[in-house]
Amino acid sequence: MSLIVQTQSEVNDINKQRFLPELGKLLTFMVEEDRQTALAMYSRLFDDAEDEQKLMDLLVSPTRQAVVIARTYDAKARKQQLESGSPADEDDTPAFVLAIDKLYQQVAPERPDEPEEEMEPAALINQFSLFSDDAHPIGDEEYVPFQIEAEAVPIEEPVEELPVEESPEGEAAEEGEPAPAPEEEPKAPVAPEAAEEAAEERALPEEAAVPAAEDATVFMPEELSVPAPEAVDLSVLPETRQKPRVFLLILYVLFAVPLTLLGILVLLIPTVLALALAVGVIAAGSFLFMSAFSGFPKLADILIVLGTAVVVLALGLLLLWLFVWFVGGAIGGLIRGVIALGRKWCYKEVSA
Amino acid sequence: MTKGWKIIGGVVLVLILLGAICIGVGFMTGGDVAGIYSTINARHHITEYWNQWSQWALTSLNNIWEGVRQLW
Repeated sequence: MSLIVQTQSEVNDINKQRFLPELGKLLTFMVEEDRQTALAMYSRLFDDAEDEQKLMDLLVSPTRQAVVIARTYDAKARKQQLESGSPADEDDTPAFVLAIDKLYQQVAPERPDEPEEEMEPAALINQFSLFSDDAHPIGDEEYVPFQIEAEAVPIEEPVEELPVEESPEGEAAEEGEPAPAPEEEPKAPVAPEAAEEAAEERALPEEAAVPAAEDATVFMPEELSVPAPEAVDLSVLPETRQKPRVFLLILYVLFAVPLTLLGILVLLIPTVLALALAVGVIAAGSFLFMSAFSGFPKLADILIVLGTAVVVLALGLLLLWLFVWFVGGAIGGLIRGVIALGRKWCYKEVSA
Repeated sequence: MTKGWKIIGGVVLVLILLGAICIGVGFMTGGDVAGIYSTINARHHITEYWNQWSQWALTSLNNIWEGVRQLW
């Protein structure tokens, strides 16, 4: 309870430090680039949030946010989109970005154009179906905080159980069964045994572990029995940029360019040799191949010449590939390696 | 590049195997290397070309060698 007396920013930091690493662990199904983007957006959410309580009410838990993102995220399609390198216009804004941005609009103080009465949490506390949120409403029921007077039940939750498809409630929704309406959930204080029983029935057990919303002022350690992991280092968040060490860079260029040119010249000798040999051998093979069908009276002789031609052509193909490998692999690799080494030695990461 | 090596290696191996089978079958069914050489030589004059080329190469090498010796 000593946490309550801390300042709001300190509380934010504590929550952020607990929330983000946990969320980072749960978002491993995303493309790394998107995962970093999502974490950065959540980080900013914590930084800019004025009302900590409201933010925590909205977020509920890292698991809840992971589910919200998982529902809007198609990792395969996203990966293809990123690999194709198609420029993303405004319409192509990923759905998870919009979801987080919606949260931001609800807690950020500098966006007063959004009337607070119209705001709805991205995921209701008492919403246990994965498919019944404000994006897919079941009814027009009002948001009623789920109140449990019982102590939070720390539950180890495996990350593997996260995907939406595995949720029994989700299956129920797919089978057309009506999801339980929020009114059906217990509003009045519930006995600890009942709370535990309800928690066991939930697809997302951590939701039951949320303490009474009105009493909670901070994201309490009891909510997550998972120890703060080191899987996501906050300093790795993409708010960094590379800054050149100018002197070292000039020095590196002065030495690297002549050395690289020398290496390329040395590599050009076997490259040209391989090309010349390949051309010669392929020409000889073709000549033998054509000779096989002109002037040999015996089939046995034709077979021998044909066989020799095929072997010679195979060697010519190998030599030709060797030439391609020298150009693309050896010389190209040398250049790429020198550039990568320069980037490693002469640039340092600084916060943006 | 690794994939390229695998593909090219496979193709080369198959071609060499095919060629070896052809040569083997040719020899087993009475093929004659001397006869093949004489036939190709009669048609394309390989021996003449080889002699001319080797003579030109030897002369060129000798000239280069002499030039290097004079410079030294």
